[in-house]
Amino acid sequence: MRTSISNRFFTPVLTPFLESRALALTIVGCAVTQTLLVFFGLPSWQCPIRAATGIPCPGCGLGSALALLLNGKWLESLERHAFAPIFLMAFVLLGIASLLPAAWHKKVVDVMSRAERQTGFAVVIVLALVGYWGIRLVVRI
Amino acid sequence: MSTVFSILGLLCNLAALVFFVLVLIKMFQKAGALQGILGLICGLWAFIWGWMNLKDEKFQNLPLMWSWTGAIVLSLVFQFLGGMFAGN
Repeated sequence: MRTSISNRFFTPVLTPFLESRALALTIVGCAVTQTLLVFFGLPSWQCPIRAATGIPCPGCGLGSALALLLNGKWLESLERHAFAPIFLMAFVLLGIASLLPAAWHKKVVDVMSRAERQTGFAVVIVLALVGYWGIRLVVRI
Repeated sequence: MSTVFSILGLLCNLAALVFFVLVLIKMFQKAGALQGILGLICGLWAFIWGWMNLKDEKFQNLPLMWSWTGAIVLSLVFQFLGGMFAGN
């Protein structure tokens, strides 16, 4: 029997984004735009925390890591941000799912919802990301 | 002149940080801890969420999201001007 804490652990994180096509496409659009801006060295979204304090947030470096990943520089990408491949997979999933026909879209949402509720993998990834951020702050990667 | 623009840019960045924190607090209150953590991980998501959910929200009679957007735009403008004058 799950306690309320373990219930929160198994709360879907990715599924709510998958359910709304408009939201999924907005997120994918922003991710693609940000990655392309970083790739071409153009002015891009600045992390408000880093811009004001110089301290990187958990997601800092993802844009350039994704740009490196798409350029085939896997090792450099992982050095810049170890979670870039995971975010790339999430964005690809969001993009593909949002363009699927209604029946397939519903199937993908149901499968993802079930997977998240049974494994809590998305929450694990979010917590691991926060832990990775802590390590980066200490080690200054 | 370049120093003046750099300082103005920094002030705008600080203002943007304040608005970001305000939106983050709203995220934790309205959407729960996980959404709040996602907003902390990616400020861009907090920005998108803010525009989707806090369009009409005000802080000290200032429209919150418009103020955050304005701070970001001004920061970029001042950084550009600072860079331009530093080059000269």
